[in-house]
Amino acid sequence: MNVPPRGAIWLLRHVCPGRDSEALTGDLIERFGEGRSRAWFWRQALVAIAVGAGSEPRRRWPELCYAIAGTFVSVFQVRALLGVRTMVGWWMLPWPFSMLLFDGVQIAMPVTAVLPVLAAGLLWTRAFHWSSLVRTWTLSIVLLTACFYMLGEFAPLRVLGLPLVFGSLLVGAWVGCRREITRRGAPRQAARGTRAGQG
Amino acid sequence: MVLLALVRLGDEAYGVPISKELLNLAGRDVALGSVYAALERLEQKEFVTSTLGEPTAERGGRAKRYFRVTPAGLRALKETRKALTNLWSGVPLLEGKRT
Repeated sequence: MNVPPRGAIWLLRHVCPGRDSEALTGDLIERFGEGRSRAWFWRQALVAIAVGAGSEPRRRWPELCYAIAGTFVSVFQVRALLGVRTMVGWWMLPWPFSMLLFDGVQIAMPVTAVLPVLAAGLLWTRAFHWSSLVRTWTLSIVLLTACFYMLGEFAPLRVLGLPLVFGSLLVGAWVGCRREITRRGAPRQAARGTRAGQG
Repeated sequence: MVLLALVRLGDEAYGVPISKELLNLAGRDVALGSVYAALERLEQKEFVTSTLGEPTAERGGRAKRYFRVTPAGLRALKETRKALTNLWSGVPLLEGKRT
């Protein structure tokens, strides 16, 4: 018996955004069993990924708002943050606290400042979880630290500063809120129905 | 169209029959990914609800997701039909040309 393409199934499982990728894969396997070709299966998988990716901004708008606000604060409010850093007096502290304060203020403050934007969006979409905020905060700081050090080390990359900061924040929020994706988009009524169906 | 297909299919509405219904009745070979995207939007608007079925071997162990129209979805469907009927009633020239 002809088997469906494993690569397409892997893509659907790991790359296809949205809650229904498992059910969609099952549907494609069912249609494939009815005599559809491997090319058809691949085409359907790629269309599903493209359609899913296209609807991601609508589905994940809190993360998008967080990344936009974070980029704005990180890039355009640096002078104000430098003022805060000077006010605190980083140079008077012993190492490594001085370094942590020096670098940390530039990275942690904008992330912390815009976290309420993400929290408000998640509350609005009924997907709020403290754990997703903590994950997003941690990941954003790790990614932004890497991003800033990279920009500092490689001068030619500085033209990419804005997209890199935006990308770091978006990836941080996207991965940080990943577990909540199934809750979002499905109203309470539907979620209850799903649980009943699973039981 | 997807809502209408759900109403017609009743309790057996999941991805495969929905796409077949759209192909048979509207002549549109819609990709399954697009069908699920439309269903997700309808679910966000609370026009449909969904439940997971049992996983089956012929689907590679994947469960079906069954969809059902809610009373709000039915109301929206009736309102759309009414609006379309009103719009068509204001196009006498088109009917005249056909006859």
